Amino acid sequence: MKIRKLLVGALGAVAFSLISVGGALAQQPIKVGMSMPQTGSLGAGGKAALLALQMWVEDVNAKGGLLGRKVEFIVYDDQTNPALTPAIYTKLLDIDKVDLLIAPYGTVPTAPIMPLVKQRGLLLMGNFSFQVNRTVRHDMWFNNSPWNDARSWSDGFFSAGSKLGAKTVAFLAADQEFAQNLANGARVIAKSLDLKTVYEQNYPPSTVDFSSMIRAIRAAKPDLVFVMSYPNDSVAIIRAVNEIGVGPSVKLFGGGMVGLQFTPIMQSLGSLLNGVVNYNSYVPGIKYPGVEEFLARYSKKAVAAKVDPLGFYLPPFNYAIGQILEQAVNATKSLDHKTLAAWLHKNEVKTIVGPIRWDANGEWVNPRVLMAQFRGVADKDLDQFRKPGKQVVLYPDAMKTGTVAAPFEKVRGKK
Amino acid sequence: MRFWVSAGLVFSLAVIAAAILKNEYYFFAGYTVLTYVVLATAWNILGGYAGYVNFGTPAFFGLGAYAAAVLFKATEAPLLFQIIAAAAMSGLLGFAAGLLTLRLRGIFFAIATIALVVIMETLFINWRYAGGATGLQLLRPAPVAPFESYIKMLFVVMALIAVASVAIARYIETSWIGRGLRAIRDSEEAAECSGVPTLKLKVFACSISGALMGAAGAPMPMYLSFIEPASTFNLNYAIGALASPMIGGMTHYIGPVIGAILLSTIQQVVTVTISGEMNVLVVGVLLVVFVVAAPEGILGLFRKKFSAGRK
Amino acid sequence: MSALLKIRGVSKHFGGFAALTEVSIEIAGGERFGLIGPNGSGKTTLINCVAGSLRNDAGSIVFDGEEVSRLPAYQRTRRGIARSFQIPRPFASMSVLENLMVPLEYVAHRGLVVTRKTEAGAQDEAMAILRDIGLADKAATPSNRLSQVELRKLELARAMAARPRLLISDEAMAGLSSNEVSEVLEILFKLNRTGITIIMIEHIMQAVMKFSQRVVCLDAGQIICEGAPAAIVANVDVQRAYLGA
Repeated sequence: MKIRKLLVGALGAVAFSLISVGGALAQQPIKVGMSMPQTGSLGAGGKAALLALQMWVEDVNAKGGLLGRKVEFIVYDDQTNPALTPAIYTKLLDIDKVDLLIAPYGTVPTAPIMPLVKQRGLLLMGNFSFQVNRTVRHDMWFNNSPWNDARSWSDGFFSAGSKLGAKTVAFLAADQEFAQNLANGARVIAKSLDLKTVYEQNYPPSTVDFSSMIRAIRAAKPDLVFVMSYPNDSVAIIRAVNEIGVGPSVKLFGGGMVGLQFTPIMQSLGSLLNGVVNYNSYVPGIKYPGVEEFLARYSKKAVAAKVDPLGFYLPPFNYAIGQILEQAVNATKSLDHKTLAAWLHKNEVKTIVGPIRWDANGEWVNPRVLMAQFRGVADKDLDQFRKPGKQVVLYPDAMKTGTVAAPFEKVRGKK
Repeated sequence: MRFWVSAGLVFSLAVIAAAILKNEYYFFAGYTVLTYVVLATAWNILGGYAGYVNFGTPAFFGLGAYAAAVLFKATEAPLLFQIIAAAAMSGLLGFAAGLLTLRLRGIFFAIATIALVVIMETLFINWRYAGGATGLQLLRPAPVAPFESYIKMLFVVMALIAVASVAIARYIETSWIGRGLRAIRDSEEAAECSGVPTLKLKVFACSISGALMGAAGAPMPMYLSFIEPASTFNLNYAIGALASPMIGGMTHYIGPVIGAILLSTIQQVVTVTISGEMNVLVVGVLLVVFVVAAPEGILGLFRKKFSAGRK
Repeated sequence: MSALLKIRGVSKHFGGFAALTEVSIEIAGGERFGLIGPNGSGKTTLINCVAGSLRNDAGSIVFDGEEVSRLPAYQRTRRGIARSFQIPRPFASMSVLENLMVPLEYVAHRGLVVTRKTEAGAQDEAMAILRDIGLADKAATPSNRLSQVELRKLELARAMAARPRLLISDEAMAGLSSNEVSEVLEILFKLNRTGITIIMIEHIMQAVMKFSQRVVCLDAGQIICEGAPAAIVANVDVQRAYLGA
């Protein structure tokens, strides 16, 4: 009897305190919602990206929130499965009643929600997707990725090559649409630079042995070798090149090799990477304001959270999404999606990945896909990649941290 | 008669819900649940009645989805024609799978159906017109009147496909076809010697099952406005289609329906509450629990009531 | 009287093993025919070829004037060849009555549309067969709960439900007590009296000799002896085949 009375009393007290707290928090938090692939093929990158976004939420709340209201972050795991994202985003909108939306990392999980946001007239912040707005043409879409069309990927490689006086080029590309897209962009650029194609090979996605192709490239004696490959192929190609060699004629090797940006792959290939010139989104040494401070904080948290400890590729760009929203909301003093979108179309935004301005399609007006050369990389050393100079930026010119070293074979030999 | 009254009632409920409910989330989630109802019902025609375990659900589902997407891209055909084309294509694939049963039984048939998924996925990865590995974005047309939103229309369409599937499964189960299929499951040789044309029946069951799975996949490209091989041929469809009848019960047409509603509702809830990894775990744990504690599924637990109500 | 079943020069090989070599047998309508031979002599292979579970490599099988050796088993069942299995193969998920409904619906009461009336007709016929065979009281029992002798009876009953003109009974009495053997034997006599031709494969000599009008003995895939039961029992080759003497 006594215990029961006590319980009732305690419950009453709790209820009362809840009511009084509720009264004090008349201001509802601003809800930011998204789905992030945390399992499945994009899961590893997604977890790192998520950590960066959570850091932004902490930072903005530490500054007192947005418009004087706390920011609440709601995130679900879409398992890299596009079949799940429409239901997740309608849940975010109709049940959770979020105020602002961020797209999931990657093109595939994003594609199915484009018609939804277009139909409802919602602002959507893009997250490292590629040309996902091409067919839908939603004018309230703003991507955070430093590329726009297929050409933006290979511009840097060929401009560096032409400075070295290259006359011939060899193409090696995965026989999949994304790689072919890049290859087509690269061919147009090569043609405009009067480069002669001496070798061209599309390989099926399941290829594991590249030795015969590397020998054929060597026999063709090209000045440039432009490779468009997926993570597993990229690793196999780098290993084959280091066993066989591509010959003294080759000035530059690389270009569009996906995977060489990922920390585990960089770590396992180590010195085998030396000499390769490849695209990237961010490398140490680039002086975007705030990025180094961000990465220092990030890597501490990343070790605890067991995600990508370097976090160059995705996390700064995800933090930038938060910064973009923050600036738009603060500037317009509004959460109205149309107002925010109109402001973003008109203004340049400052982020830790540099200033961003968008074109009518929501992609960057000035793409900043870096071309960087691996130099002096040693084996089995993670921390070396934090130092500038291990990846020397060759392009764009405004961000150069060094000049290209050539020919490829000579740079490759150096440790 | 009682079946048709309740089927009509369920379908009217779907229509009424579409008319009055404003919150679209329930339609997105409901659409997924209904998809699994169709898949589980279709799976059970071959797997439950005839005893041929099919791991190839994604092949049929995905072929249907791609048939609809390609037809739409080429001709902008309306949804109804997309569904018909999808059912026809997947039915043909079912026909081919049925011929496989001529030589392959038990585990060997099951393995061959997994191969079907791989073959189909490879095929569409390499077909540029259908979007290749990157996928294909589709601009869906305006919803047909009286629907005000496309998802509500898809929800009602899927409800109709689900009711039709269950009606077909029920007809098969209660007719001489179902008796023949059960005879095949119990002893194929004895069935043949009792006058059952086993090959014809198996091919028929495979084709119908495949066609229904194809119909379930047909609205998918319009649901997503997008299609892409990895998720379209996702093995989750195989697991859901197989686990639902096992959980609900395979001997009565209502078993897969109960299993699918239970399982995919839980999965929907888990996806937005706990995590993606838990999602897979939930299916696994439920399966183990039911295989150990209730080998005949939920229906087995209520067996007496149902078999009494059937005659 | 012309022969109902003509087996001519039938051979069957499994890889390099010759299970049957040039076997020829003619069986007249209404006959009670015994097929004996030691284990592995090819009896079951021969009846599998007749019933359609196996295809013979050479030779012909003519049933009622029609070549049937290339027809699938179910077509032969529909033409009047029914069999029981040595190891009973009931449709385990069904009741005894339902077991009989399978051949009834697929042979005698075949039709795309099944009405309540045709189904009731088939059920009546199933019950009649079960009464004849002595399983009527088990009609609603799940077939996986039957005793050994009941399973043998179910095998015969299900074969009967296909309304056969030729019934092949494959060791229907193996492992039964002597009382049960006479019970099954009595059933087979009764069926034969209704005009059904019966091939009995049996190891129980007493039964097969009592039942058959004519007996063939197979050894190593060949006929070694044919004749009246008394003559077979006296035959030296048969004794050698069985006793290995």
